[in-house]
Order: sequence, then C-alpha cells, then structure tokens
Amino acid sequence: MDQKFDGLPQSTIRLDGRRLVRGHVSNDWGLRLQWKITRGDETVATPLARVADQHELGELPAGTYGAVLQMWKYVNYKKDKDGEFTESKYVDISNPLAFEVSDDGKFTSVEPAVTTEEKQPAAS
Amino acid sequence: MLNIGNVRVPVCSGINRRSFLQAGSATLGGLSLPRLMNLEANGAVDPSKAGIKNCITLFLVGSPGHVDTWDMKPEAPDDVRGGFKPIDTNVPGIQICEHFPLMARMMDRVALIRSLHHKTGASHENGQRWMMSGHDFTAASPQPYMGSVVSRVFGQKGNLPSSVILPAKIGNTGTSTPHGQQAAYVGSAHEPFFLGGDPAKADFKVANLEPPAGQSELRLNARQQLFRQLDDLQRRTETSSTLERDTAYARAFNLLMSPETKQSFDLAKEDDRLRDRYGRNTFGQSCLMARRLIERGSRFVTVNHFDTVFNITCWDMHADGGGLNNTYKDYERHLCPQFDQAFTALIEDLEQRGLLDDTVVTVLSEFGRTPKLNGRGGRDHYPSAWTNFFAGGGIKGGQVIGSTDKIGAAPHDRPVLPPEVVASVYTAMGIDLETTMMPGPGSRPIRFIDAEPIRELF
Repeated sequence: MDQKFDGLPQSTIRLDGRRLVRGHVSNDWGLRLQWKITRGDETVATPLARVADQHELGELPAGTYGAVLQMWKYVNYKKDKDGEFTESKYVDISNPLAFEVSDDGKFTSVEPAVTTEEKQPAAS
Repeated sequence: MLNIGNVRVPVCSGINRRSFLQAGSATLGGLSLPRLMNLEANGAVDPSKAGIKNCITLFLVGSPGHVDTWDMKPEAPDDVRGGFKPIDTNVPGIQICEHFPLMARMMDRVALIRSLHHKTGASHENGQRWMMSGHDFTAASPQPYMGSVVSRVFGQKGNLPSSVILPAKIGNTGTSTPHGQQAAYVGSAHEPFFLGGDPAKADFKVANLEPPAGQSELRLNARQQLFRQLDDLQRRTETSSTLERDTAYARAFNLLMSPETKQSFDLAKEDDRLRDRYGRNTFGQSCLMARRLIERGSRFVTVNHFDTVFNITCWDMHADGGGLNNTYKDYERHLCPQFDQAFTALIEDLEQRGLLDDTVVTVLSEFGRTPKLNGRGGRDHYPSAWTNFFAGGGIKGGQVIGSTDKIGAAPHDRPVLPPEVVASVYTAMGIDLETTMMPGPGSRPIRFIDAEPIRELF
C-alpha cells in the first residue's frame, strides 16, 4: 500500500518583529515542515517548523528576504540514480512573506514582488 | 492460585465446582475451551471485568536504523555516526535523533530498550515472528500473535474485534515465511481483524465491513436468520472446530450489522484539528483509529507502519539504487517526521482522554541496521542490536534499559531478547504470567511465554 497524500496542507505566516509566526497547519500531511528563508535566489536556511509555531530570525545581514512555510510532498517512490526523488518535492503551504533588514538591523515587512512558488522553477 | 483467562483456580486446596469445571474444560477434555467461551457468554465468566489493560503496538516494518534514531553514537567514526545529530530530551542524559523533536519533549513517558537482539537470521520475517509472537517458528508449527492470544483468553468486550491490525496485512518483505500476525493454534475465531484500507483517504471505507457486492443488509439479515435455524442442528454434531466457526460467523455478522462498529472505524467523527495532529497520512490516521478502537472495546491493536519494503518509502534504508532505495533523505523528510507526529499525538490523545494508564503503547521493529554504512550510504539488516520502546500502561518512563557498545554493534549491558519484550507486553497489560495460562495446542494449558518480563519497566 503506497501512501497517497490528498489535498494540500495550508497555513498562514506573518512577521512579528524578528520572528516568523505560523498559524495552524490544516490538512497536515505530517511530513517535514520547514521554514524556507531566501535572499534573492539563494536559500539562506530551512529550519524545522514543527515544534514551535514561531522562528527567531536573529541577526541577518541587511537586505531583502523572503520566507514561506513548506512541507515535503511525497508523490511516489520514483528516484534518480543518486537516490533523489524525481517527482516528490517540497511544496509551499503558506502565503509568501517578504521583509527587509535595514543597515541598523530593523526588520520591516514588504509586499513580496514575486511569490516563492513562482521562483522555484527558475531556481531548480 | 492458577488462572485460566481471568478465572482464578485454586491449585492446592479448596477447588470449587466452577473452578473444577473450568479447569477441566482445559485439562480433562470434558469441556472444550470453546465451551469455556460459551460459559463466558452465559455469564459464568465476565471478560469485561478481567481488569487487563489494552495494548497499541506500532510496528515499524522495515526497521529503523538504531544508530540513526534512538541509540545515536555521536562520538563514533564517520562511517558509523551517519548524517543526523542527537538532541536533548526532557529527561537529562537521554538524547535521541534531531528528527524526533516532538518525542524529545515527552521522553519522560518513554522507556527505551537499547539492547534488543536476536540470533536467528536477518530476514524481516524472522524479526516479525519474534516481535509479534515472542517465538521464531516455521509455517508448519506456527505460534500465535500476541493479539490473538489476548483475544482468545480474555474475549471481546463488545461488538468490536478484540484484536485488530491496521491498516493492512504485512505482504511481501522478502521471503514467503510467516510474519507472525496469525492466530495459529488459538483458533481461527481469534485471527486479527485486518482493516484492509487506507483510513487517510477521503473515500475510505472499511472493506471488510462492507456487505459483499450485490448483498444488501436485508439479504444479510435473511442469511443470519437461516444461520440461526441451522444452528441447533449444528450443535448436535458440534466439535470444537464447528463451535469456533460458529463464533467466527456470529462475530462477522455482528461486525457487518452493527452501526456502532461502523462508527468506531469512522474517522470523520473526529475533530479536524485532531486528525491534523496525528498527520493526514496512512500511519497517522491508523494511529488515530487505534485509539478509537481501544476506546470502544478492542483490546489489542497493531498498526503496521508499511506492509512491504519494496518500491515504497519505508524504514528499510539499504540505499540500493533499486527497489530498496531508501536513504537518509527519506528518514529526514518523511519517515521520522511522520512517526514523530503520530506517536506523540497518540500518547497525548490517550493521556487527555484518561486512557494512557490503561493502554500499553509499544513501538517495535524487526531488528536494527548495520552500524557501519554500506557503500551507498545506507544500512542493511542487523539483528545483533536495536532499540524499541514502551510507553503508557503505567510503565516507568524516562529511562533507558540496556545499552550497546561504542558503535552500536552489540549489547553492552542488560541484553534483551524478543520473548522478554513480549512477556513485558503481557505483564504491562496486567497479565500475571506466573499464574495465568493460555490454551496451547490441543487446548492444553500452557504459559503465555517462557520468558521473564523486563522488570525495570514496572
């Protein structure tokens, strides 16, 4: 019996000072849940998001960042020769966030210009 | 005193008539043990007052690598240590894998046994037989599954089967030898009820509770009436096997016809947030269903985490590049989070409902995995050392029993064998193994298991 994961998990995220805060994850598949924090096309960090509903961003260099909540999506067992899945992948399950870190270390939310979901194909 | 099931039988003096008849049913052949079950049905014995606890077993088919999960070796060489890091738990001095962060917060409820081992071969089926029955055996002389033994001795509490296995039978795990989840000589009426479906699916129905195609409930009712009319005739020529079949038919009809039974399997009755907490996947929803079944009268529920090891993401991390190609990435993204979510949800849920003290929760697997990584970065079968654990049922949590050597290759102290785990399951359920007997082959009373329970658990 291979596992099928129906529907799509969903949550909302927001910036609260230097913290990312998530809401309840509905239709939670129970697979790895992580924050994906990006700067431009670069993924800066993918910390676990399961235990706590918030993540301290701490000190970050000045710049514009993106954040989104992701969950592993198991589609099937197909893998390439290196053992990496060809169809299963991480998917975004929240609204995307964008924020700026100023030179003096201040965090400010900004409208995301492009969603993380849209960025993914270009990055992969 | 001697107990057969929950019937206390004096063995030195003062044997009363009821005890004599009940003991005789097992020992003298005057009454068959199925007749004892009928006595129970007539109120001579009340299994609901047996006072034994329930058990939920999470069986991790394929087997996690102990060095990657619950017996980490951060000081070991690179080719042993693997890719994960240990984290602290809420019990000082006990560390587990970083990918079990939720479990780490409830280690005070868990007793890890880090020195399990067996010496009879490294096939999945060997380990399955050991851990499900406490015996190794061949197809020619099968030994009964723990749930079947409990069902046989303590009977049903209601319409629900005493012994249920979710979500499905173990299928192909490499050889065509028994998996250890069968009733064997305790009788076909005590075969576990297999769900045979995926409770995580939106259109889930219990296949084994649906009337056969083309048969309505009315037709089933008519068939049941006919069955009852034939019953008297049958009883005149009854043997233990016809009586057993009688019981099995009656149970099957009860299962098919009872709305209460169907509701017990209906996860739509559960709160959406609770379903999310368990994880919307086959394993998580099976764990939730296990709690529903225990709550409603089942005594022994096993959740098979996977029913095969081939061409599927499962614990069997050979990284072989083919049909057994599970790797660290599968553990990190899929298997550890899925287990962590469901196991901790189950413990929390049982606790919040006041069921945890009366429900033994065991997490078992067939073996460990090779301490040294293979050439492709995976780990192969390794029955010489592994970790399983207990929670609930009043066991002493927050402890580690036994240990392995520096690389997890062999037990270092307090080695534990599978029959001791099975003896511990029975003991944790409240069964006194010194005084309680079970029907053996030919209905001869025998001990539940010839092993001592792990005393540190109690």
